[in-house]
Amino acid sequence: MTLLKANGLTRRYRLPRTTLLGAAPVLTAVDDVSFEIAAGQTLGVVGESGSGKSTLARMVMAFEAPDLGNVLFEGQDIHALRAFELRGLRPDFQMIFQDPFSSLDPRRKVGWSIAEPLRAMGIAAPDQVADAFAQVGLHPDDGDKYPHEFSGGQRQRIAIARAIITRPKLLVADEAVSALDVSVQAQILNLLMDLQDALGLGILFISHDLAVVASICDTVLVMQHGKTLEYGTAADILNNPGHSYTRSLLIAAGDEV
Amino acid sequence: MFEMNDMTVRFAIGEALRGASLRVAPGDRIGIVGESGSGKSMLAACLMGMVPDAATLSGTLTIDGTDMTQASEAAWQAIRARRAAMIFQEPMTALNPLRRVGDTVAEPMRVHLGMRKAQARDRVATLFDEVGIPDPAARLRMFPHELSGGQRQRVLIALALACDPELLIADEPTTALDANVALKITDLLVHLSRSRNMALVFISHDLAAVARATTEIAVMYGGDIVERGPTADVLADPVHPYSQGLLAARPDLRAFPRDADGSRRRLPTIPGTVPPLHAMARGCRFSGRCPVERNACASVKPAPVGPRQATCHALSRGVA
Repeated sequence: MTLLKANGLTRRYRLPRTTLLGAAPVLTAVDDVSFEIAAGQTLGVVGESGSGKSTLARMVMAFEAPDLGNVLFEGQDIHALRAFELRGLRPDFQMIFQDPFSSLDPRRKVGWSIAEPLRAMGIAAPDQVADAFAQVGLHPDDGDKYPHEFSGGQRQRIAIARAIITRPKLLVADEAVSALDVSVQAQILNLLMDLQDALGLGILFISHDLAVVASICDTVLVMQHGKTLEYGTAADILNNPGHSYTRSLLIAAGDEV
Repeated sequence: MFEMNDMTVRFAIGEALRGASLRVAPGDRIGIVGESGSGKSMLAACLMGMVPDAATLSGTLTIDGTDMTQASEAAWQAIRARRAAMIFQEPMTALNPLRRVGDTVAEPMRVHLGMRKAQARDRVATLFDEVGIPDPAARLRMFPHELSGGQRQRVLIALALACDPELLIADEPTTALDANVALKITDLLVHLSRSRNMALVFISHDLAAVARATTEIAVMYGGDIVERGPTADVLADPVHPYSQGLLAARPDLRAFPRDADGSRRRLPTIPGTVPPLHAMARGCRFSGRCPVERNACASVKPAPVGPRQATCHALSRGVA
């Protein structure tokens, strides 16, 4: 079942004027990109910085609107919704970020931080907080601690707890394991797979590391300069990369071919 | 030749480096691998005489036979000026944003080599060419913000090469870069080490980059060098339980990790997390997380055994 469908997404940014009277140059950050994510499936989005990965994530999260194309979440065009309708839908799609050090409020106990999405929905549910802690492998008492008392890997678990506490159907993970050490990265990847299998989450997984993508993704979208270079099943793209850029990423990830 | 013997760096809260030994000869390419808190940057700081004042040191460090253990700051400055150089992870913050990159790279030549302005500028252009910066004459007039991340890292490499060092320490040089740019920077460092017969100490947690860049490798955990040997051998057949766990945890591109029914395989993990320095075991620092641990491991520091000099009691018992 298709959970998320993006059709011909295009996003342009107007750059600062370079001459007094000339037209401002335009940067096309995302150029006619389409993809689908089914429930329980993971789409990996791969590309260098500036390739448009994060802009894509921001449009899927409805943080910004595309200039062309649309994003259908369970058939609804999320950018056509009115503000209150979108707010009602937000619990269904949540996001985790790269840096677990800056994505948590240092002055709030983590239990407060992970209950924030529930408060935004107008629910106070201490049980759900304890559940979320258990699901990500943290101790229920950890809610009374501050972010600085945790390691990077534990903080990423906290960020994941905050994302899944609304019981979302879609999780957008933007370089969620890039800042972690190898052994911690493995723990977090396993956690994401376990949660996905248990909750039937669709995941949009942004990464620059094809080895990581190989371990968790079902389908892969390779982007360069805002355009789709390749889109297909992970097995196809990793075993038969159709583009020299994808091959260079494979070599960077440790493939010597 | 830089030779470190049984070097220990002790802080009030614990030992950041415990009895590390390392020999670096001209043209060597040595990888230092380990996770955050493993002591790899402290090892580099020892080689550069940049250990914080709060630490007490024991052990010896000699450079071409001269004992540097008690050396004055002036003596270390002379080493850092001419013989050992270092590049860091962040090419965005390591350059002065208000100076043209050519002036930044020329500074050590003017200060340490007494070059005149025009002479230094010519040499900067030559260095830019050597590190693969196109159109050097134009680039040396640019400011850091006008250059991409990869170009900035090349500028920093040129800066490190300014006084023809015998040793280049690269501390996570590719971590902040895009994958294919990282690849080019790694290859450039290897090329420079070869063409200049310059020793390269390549510190990274990126095993793929270390595999590509180095011929020898030292794996660190909790301030100990737990295993060392030829890069290809250690990566293919690690003997220390920590090295084994670390290498297994790395997602493998070639063995596309799916079971026969298509379900995804979980990655092997090392249980727990790296304890903070003050909570590290007195004995083997990997105790508490180790799959082959026994009672004595936490209290007795293991001595290096075998050709890999692995510090593991199980290996000295002949078990693992």
